[in-house]
Amino acid sequence: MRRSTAWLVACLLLAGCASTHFENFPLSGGTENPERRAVDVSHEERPLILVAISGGGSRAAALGWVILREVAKFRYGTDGQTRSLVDDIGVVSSVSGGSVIAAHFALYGPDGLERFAPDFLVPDNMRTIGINAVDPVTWSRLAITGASRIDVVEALFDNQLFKGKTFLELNQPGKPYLILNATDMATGEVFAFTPKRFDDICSDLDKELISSGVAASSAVPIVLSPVAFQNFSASHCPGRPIPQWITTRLNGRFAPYLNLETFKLARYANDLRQGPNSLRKIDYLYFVDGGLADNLAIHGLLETISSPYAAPIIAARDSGLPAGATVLDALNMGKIKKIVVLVINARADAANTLSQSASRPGIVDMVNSVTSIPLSATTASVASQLEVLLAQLNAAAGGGGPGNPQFTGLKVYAVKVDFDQLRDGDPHHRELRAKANNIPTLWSITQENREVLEETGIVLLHQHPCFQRLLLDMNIAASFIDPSFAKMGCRQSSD
Amino acid sequence: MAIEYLLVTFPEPRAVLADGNGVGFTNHTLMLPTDEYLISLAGTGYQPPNQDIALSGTSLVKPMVISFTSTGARAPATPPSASPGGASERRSEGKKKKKKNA
Repeated sequence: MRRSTAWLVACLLLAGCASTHFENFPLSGGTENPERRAVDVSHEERPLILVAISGGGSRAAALGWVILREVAKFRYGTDGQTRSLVDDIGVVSSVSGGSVIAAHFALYGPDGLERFAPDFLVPDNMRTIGINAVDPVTWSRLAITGASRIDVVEALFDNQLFKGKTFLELNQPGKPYLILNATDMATGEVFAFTPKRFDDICSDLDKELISSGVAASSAVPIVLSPVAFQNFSASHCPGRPIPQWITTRLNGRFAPYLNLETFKLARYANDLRQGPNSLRKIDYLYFVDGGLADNLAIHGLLETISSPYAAPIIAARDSGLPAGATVLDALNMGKIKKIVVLVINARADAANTLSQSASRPGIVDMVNSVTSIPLSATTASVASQLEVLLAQLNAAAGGGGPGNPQFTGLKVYAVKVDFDQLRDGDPHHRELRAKANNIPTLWSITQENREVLEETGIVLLHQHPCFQRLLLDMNIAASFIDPSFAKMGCRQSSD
Repeated sequence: MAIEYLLVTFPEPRAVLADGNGVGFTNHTLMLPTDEYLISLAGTGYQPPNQDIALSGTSLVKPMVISFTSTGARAPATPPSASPGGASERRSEGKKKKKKNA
């Protein structure tokens, strides 16, 4: 007893002495992070699928896994061969629990989906975390290295899924463009683990552990400590020029009035680059759960489609587009004829009895409300931006003046799956929804709850009119397709 | 986020750059988010060197139309990113234009 007390005291003392463990690396030579991925848009019959996976611990990881596995089952003919829809996923954006399956899918591809359940969903991860958390070896390591509680979770991701692999292995031709979103604790801004964002802090993304990005995206505040980064802009990229899009926004007369969001994005990028007239001095960054800024990870998709952070991922081969073109470039040149946005929302609305109680709610209920209501409102605001954007893309497809034939025929499929889409009028749906909503946000999930999500995910995907419409338009046969429902529920301007 | 429509006219097909990034080609309506942009063309031989636009209030049938005129010099029809340098060259092209205008 005396020995263990002494051990604990020693660890705590060491912890007090240890400096913070920073998890990123400087960009050598002040160069830029390369972009090696390339989405092929040279085949008009192939859709471009953009996926967003929400937060929600293992519930989100499991729902994302179920949906991706289901999408993989649908095949169509192209170039005399059959191809799975899952191979058309070009972009995956995620937060928190969704980042676990998103990064796994981006790294191992569709073939890795079968491994995800035995490697992550079946094991009792909470037990592993608990054992590690009380292990004196872990404590001494944390104390000596300056690591923290988040490192226990990061180690779980690394040991079970990512095996020491870095973003270098994600950023390769043929891989989907992965956007792991974290929240910058000091500013509340979304910080995506992408090459362009890492350019802003002069940090080498290739050297970063994938598990570090997933942990940053899922560092639930208070329960877990933030992931710590250094800003290397001043030390390793001094005097580099500020990109023109930033100076246009910050010095422009109209920019703050026309598009405040992009203006703020430019200001944050300028702060990270330690450019002139910075609003904040940012030497260190502390990342918490990306769900705080946008729990649907839609922000990443918006940026991919139409922001200065749009990924230059469109392959030049046979497409007539220049190398480094973005999704918007490809849309503007009429190279994308079908764009699918698949949003997987694993938000659980656990039932409470507040509305039936005559007793004033206590502090726990109030804390729950003040944390969840603003988060839902922020997420809803970002989601509505995406809906506007997709509606406008759809409207453009209707054609107009003589200068825009390239938009004609563009089809937009917004497939958003959400437990709330289970029908009240169907007793089985009601039961599924109640069960799904009661799955806790933890890093473990029971077999029973996994089975609930397997059934729920498939129901939600199959019943969505835009998923049915996509299959219909691609001549993919499925017994659940109701053509009139699909056409009415997912109208296209080009109809 | 709202989408606007921009038509950049020029006597020949040229890549259109918004803040130094290629966004499409001349004489085709382009979609861009509502915002302020510095519009230029790839290559040389056109006037003015760039145009600062406030892109808002457009529609597909009534895009914002801006024109560049040719000064006679020949230039490539694709943006500089078509070369192996890709995105980074695209950015440096933007910087060059900025210096040129300074």
